Amino acid sequence: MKPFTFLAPRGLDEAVAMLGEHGPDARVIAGGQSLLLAMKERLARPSALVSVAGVAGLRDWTYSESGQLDIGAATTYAELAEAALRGWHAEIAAVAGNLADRPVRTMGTLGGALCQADPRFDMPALAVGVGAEVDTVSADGVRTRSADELFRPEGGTVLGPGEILTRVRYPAADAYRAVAFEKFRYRQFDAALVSVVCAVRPDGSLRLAVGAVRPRPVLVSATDPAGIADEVLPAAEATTRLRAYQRELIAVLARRAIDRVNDDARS
Amino acid sequence: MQEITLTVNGRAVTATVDERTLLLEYVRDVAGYTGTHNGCLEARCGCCAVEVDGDVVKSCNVLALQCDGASVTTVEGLSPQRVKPVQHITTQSLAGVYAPLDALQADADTLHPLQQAFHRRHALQCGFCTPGMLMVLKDFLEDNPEPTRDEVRGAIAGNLCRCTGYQHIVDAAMDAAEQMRQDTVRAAAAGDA
Amino acid sequence: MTDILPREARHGVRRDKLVGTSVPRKEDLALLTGTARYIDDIKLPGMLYAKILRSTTAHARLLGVDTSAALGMPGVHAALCGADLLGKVKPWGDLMQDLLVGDHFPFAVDKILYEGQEVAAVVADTKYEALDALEEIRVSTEDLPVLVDPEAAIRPDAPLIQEGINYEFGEGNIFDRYRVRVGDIEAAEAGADVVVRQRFTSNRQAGAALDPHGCVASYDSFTGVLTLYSSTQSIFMVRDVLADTLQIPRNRVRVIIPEVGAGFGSKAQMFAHEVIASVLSMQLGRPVHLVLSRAEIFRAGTARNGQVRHAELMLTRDGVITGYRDYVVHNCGAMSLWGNQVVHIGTNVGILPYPIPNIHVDADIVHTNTAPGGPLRGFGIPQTLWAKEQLVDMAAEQLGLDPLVVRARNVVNPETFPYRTPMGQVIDSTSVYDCLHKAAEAIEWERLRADRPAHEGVGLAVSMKYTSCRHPSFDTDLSAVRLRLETDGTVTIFSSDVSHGQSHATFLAQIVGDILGVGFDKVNLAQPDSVTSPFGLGTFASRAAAVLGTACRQAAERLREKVVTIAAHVLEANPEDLEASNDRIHIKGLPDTGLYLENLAAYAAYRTHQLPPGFEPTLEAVATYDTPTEREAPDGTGNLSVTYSTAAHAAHVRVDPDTGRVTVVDYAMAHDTGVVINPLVVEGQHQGGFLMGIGMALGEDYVYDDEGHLLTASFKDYQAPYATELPELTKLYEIPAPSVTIPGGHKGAGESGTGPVPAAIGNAVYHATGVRFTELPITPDRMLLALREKERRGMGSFRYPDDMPEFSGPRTAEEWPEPTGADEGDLLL
Repeated sequence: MKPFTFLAPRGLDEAVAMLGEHGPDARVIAGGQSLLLAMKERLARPSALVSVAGVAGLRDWTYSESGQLDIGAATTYAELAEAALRGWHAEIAAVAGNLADRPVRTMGTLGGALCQADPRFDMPALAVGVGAEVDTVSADGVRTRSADELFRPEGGTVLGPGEILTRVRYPAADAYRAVAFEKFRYRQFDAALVSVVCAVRPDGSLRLAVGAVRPRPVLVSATDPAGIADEVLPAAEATTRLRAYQRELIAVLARRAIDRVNDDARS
Repeated sequence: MQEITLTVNGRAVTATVDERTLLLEYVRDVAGYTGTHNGCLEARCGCCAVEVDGDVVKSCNVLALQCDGASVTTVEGLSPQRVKPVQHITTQSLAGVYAPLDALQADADTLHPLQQAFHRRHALQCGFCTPGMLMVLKDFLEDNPEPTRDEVRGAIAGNLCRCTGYQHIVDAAMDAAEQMRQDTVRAAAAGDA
Repeated sequence: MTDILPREARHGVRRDKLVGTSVPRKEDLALLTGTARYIDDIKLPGMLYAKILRSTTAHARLLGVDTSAALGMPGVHAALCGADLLGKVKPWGDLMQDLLVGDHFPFAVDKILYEGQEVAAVVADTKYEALDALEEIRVSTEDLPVLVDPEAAIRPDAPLIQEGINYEFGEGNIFDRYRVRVGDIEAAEAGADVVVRQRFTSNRQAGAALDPHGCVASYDSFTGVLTLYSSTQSIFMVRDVLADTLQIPRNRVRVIIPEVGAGFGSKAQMFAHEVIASVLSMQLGRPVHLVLSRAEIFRAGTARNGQVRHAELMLTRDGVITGYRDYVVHNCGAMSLWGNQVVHIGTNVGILPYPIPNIHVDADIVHTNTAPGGPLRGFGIPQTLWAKEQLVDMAAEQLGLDPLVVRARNVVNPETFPYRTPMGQVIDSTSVYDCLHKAAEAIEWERLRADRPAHEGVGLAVSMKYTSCRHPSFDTDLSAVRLRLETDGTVTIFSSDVSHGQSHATFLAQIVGDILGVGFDKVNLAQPDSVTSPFGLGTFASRAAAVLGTACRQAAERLREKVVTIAAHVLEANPEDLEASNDRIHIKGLPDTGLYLENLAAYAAYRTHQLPPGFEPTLEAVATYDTPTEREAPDGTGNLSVTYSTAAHAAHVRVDPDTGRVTVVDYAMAHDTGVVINPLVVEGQHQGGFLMGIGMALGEDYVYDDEGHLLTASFKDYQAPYATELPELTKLYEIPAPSVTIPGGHKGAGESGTGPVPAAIGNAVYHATGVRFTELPITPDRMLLALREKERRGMGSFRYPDDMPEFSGPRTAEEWPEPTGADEGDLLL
C-alpha cells in the first residue's frame, strides 16, 4: 500500500466535498473488500480514502410507494442476506448470502461491488439482469442511471471521480414473476466463472443477462441456451480452453436459470 | 498518522498509526495479540479472522481506521482469563505451553466450547489456521445453533487448512454446537431460577 | 471414527499403556488460545524489517541493480544485491554437507533464472518503509527466451538456463540422470501377453503451509554468534549450510525454531531469505525480521516436481505384472536442492506394492525457468502412482479382468518375512492384501463395478510408502533424543526434529511415559535449538514416529536402566524385580511401593553418596537411531526405507455431465501404519494426506504463461481445496502389520494418505465417463471439454488430452522420444 489520507465524513454533502477537495486520486471506500486487495498489491494507489461506512442513510432498505426495492449502497452482503424480501426480491438476498464467505459478507457492500464492477462478481450481473437503477450524488447533484448504463463495455463504471453511489433500486415485486441467478465457480469461495440471470416478465417473456464472460455483464436478446452462448461468446472467439469452457457453461447455466424461473413462475 | 481507539478483548487500545495499518497489524503489533495470523494477506486463508462489534471479518482486509471506536475480539478473547498480550517475545516463550488442556480442567470453563472441542477432536495439527477457524465458527454457531455438517463446511468456505482435511474441524464444530446448545439451556434454566 | 479417550485417562491418571491411545495433545493449549509463537510473532528489541525485491521476468541477463535511491528512503538502514555479496558468501547447492553444485546464491548476480528470484533486499525500521524503498530500486535486464516446458528444455537447441555450472551427470538443461535396471526388460516385453503404454504428465503443487516461510536473524557482534529463528523443518540443514555459506564455524550459528505452521516438505532446506536476513543482521548488528509474502512463497518456494512419464506395464494374460518400463522427464525448475532425488525415491518406492521382476527406468532431470522443484508430501510417489496405477486399470480392461483382482494378484504378499523385492526393498511386514480388499469392500466395489449409477464410477489405487529414507545425497537416516530426568521427577525431551503439526510433544511423551512410568503431563518437549539439541536430520519422510520414536524409546530405556539401578541399590532389591510405573520404580506388581522418580532424581543430583558405587551421577540419556537402510545401488535398487506403510484407497466419484465437476461422493482409505502410537493423530495425518492428494488430483497447479509468469501465485487462483470441496472422510481403516525392524513396530503415517489419491480418482473418473485422464489436475473445464469431444467423435473411451484436437504431444508410443544421454555402456552401472 502507498500512503494515503483517510477521511470519515458523517454526511453525504461532506463526503462529496471531501472527494472534490482531494481530486481525482481520491477513492470512496465502503467495506473495502476489493479496494484493499488492490491497494495491498499496490495496483490501486489512491491518495485519499473517503469512507462512506459512517454516512447516515446509506445502509438500509425500504420499499418505495411504487413497490421498488430501494437499498442503500453501503448495505453489506450480510445485511442483505438477512433481509426479509418479498417475491423475486428474495433472490437478491439469496445471491448476497451465497457469495464470498461469511467474514467477507460482513464487510462487503452492494454499492462496493457495483463500483468495483468486477465482471465475475454477482451483484453487477444481477443488477443488469433485472434492470436495477442506481442513484449517485456529486457536486453536480443527484443523478439516476440504469445499471446497464453504469458499466462501460471495456470494464469499470462510467462514474466520475467525484461521484458517490448512494442507492440501488430494483423493480417492484410485480415486475417479474420470478428471477433466477445461476453461476458456476470452481470452489464455493471463488468468484463466478460464468453467471446467468433470468427474469420472467408478467407477460411470460424472458429477460436474460450473462456475467463473468465479457468485461461487463451483458443483456442478451436470445432466449434459448445455445443462442445465448452464441451471442455472448461465439464459437470463433472461444479459442482457449477457458473460453471454450465458458461457452459451454453459458448454455448450461442459461438452461438451469430458464428452467428454474419457469418452475417458480408456475408455482 | 491518525489517532484511533479500538477496544481489543475488552481493553481500550489507543495509538497513533499510519493510515495503512490493517486491523490485523493493529491487533498484532499495537495491541500485542499475535494469535491472529497473517497467512496470505489477500483475504483468502482466513487465519486472520476476528470479530468486530460481534461480526466476523478478515482483519487483513480491513483498515484499523475503519474500526475506530469498535470493539474487537480476537482468539485471545475467547478465553480472556488465561491470556495476557505479549509485547516482547523471548526464546522461552517460543517453547509454547506444552501442557495438556485437561491438566487444567479446574479452569477449563474459561475455554470456549469450540476450543475444548477442537482439542478433544484433534481438529488442529500445526495450529496456524486454528484461531481463524475458531473465530468464524464462533460467529457462525451463535447465529446457527443447530447446523448440519454441510452448513459448517459452508461457514468455513473461506478458511484454508492444509493439515487436517477438515474432517476433524467439522467434527469439533458439531460437538461445540451441541455443547453451546446445552450451555444455553442451562443458562436459561438458571435465569428462570 | 476413533473413540475419544475416557476422561480419567486424559487427566494424567495412568492407564496400562499410553501408546495406542488417543491422548489429546499437549500442543493444543498454546495453539488454541493464540499464545503459540510463530515466526512472524517474534519481536526482538531493536528489530528491523527486511523485504526482498524479486524478478518479474523468468529468464534475463541481469545488467545492473542500483539500490542507491532506496538507501535514501525514510527509515532505510541498508540495501543488498548480488554484486554486494559476490566473493563474500559462498554459493550452496546441497542439503547439508557436500556442496557439490553451487547453483544457489542469495541473489541473482548476472542472470535471472525464474520469476520471483531474489534480486535485491532492503532493511528498514518498518515493513512499509522497506516496501516503499523496494520501489526505488532500479533493475536493468535483457530478456532471454523462456523455457517453461521440460520437454522443450531438453531439445538440443534449447537456450541454456544454468550457464555457469558443469554437471557431473548431465549436459545442457539436463543436470542429472537416474536409471533403474532390474531383470531383463526386453525378455519381459517379448514374453508379455499384454503391454499397456501411456504417456502421463503430472502437475506441480505447492505445500502452501499457511505459516509463511520466514526468519529473524539476530547477530551478537560481541560474541560473534548468529542466532536464526526460522520456520523450518530441519534446524541442522539450515545451520550447516548457513554456516558454510557465511564461512563461519558451525558453533557460532544457532538455529532455533518457534512454532512452525506446517511444511509438507516445503520447508526442508535452507532458503536465500535466511542468508539475506543473516547478512543484514551481521552488517547492522541488529535483529532482522524477514517473512515472505504468499506470492513470494508460491514463486520462489519449492513446489512438487512435475513429470512427463512414458510408462509401460507388461503382464501375462492372467494379470501378473512382469515388467515396468518408463522414461521420465523430471522438471526441477531453475534450481533445486532436493529435486533430483524426488525421482529416485519416488520411482524406487513408487514401484511398490508390486514386486515387479523386470524394471527399466530412465529419467532426465531438467531445469526450466520455473519455481524450484522440491519435496512435497509423497516425494515423487504420487507422480509414479498416477502413471502406474492407471496402467494397471488399463491393463485390466484389456485383459477383461477386474482391477481389484489384478491388484490382488500382484501386491507383495510373501509367505515369509522379511521379503526382498527385485527393486531391493526389504518388506518386514505388510497387510497390503487385506487393505486392498477392505478399501474396495468399504465403497461397495463389486456392486458399483457391476451396476453403477449414471455419471458415477469407482476406482482403486494402492501404494506402499517409505517410513524413513536414506537419500542418495546423504548417507544417513538418523534421529536422536536426549532425555533428562529433572530433579523433581519431571522429564525433558531434547530433539532437533521439528514438530510442525506431527504432535511430537504428545507422542514422544506417550513413549517416554510407558517406559519410564512417568505421568504424561510430567513430560515436556524442549523446542529444537541447535545449541542444545542432539544432532538429527529433521522432520520429513514420514520418519518421526518410527525413527525419532525409536531414538526416544532407546533413550528412555537407557534412562530407565539408570533409575532402576539407583532404586535397586537404595531398596536393596534385585533390578530384575523392579518395574517403572505410577511415577515410581517399584517392586513388580506393587505399584504403590518403591521410590518416586523425584527421589531417585534427587539422589543423582543432590545426594550422590547414596548412589551405587561407581554410578555416574547423571540422569541424562541420549540415543541416536540410524536406520538399517541401504544406499541406492548404481542400478537404482536398494532398501532405502526402514519399513513400509500401506495405503489402499477406493474412490467413488460423480461427474456432472453439464459442468464437468468431479465430486468425490465416497472414499475409503485402508492403511497399515504398524503400531499406532496415537490413533486420533494418525487419523488426522491420513485425512490431511488425502487433502493434499485431492488437491493434486482436482485443482492445485502451477500454471505458467509462455513468458514464465506464474498465474496461480495467490490463493485466489491457486485451487487449494476448502472444506466445501472435501468429502466426508469417515471410512478410515487401520490394519496394522507391525514393523519388525522398528522396535515399537511403528510405520510412517505422514505421507501415505497422499500418494494413491490422484490415481484412485483418475480410475474412478474413467469408470464414470470413459475418459482416461493422462494429465493432472482433472479440472471441471478439462473434464467437460473431454466429455463433449468424446461425444462429438462417438468414441467409447477417450484420453484427455491425448485425443483432443489441439493436443500437440505424441499420441502413441511410436512417437515417444528416446531417453537422452549415453548408451548403456556409458552408464556408471
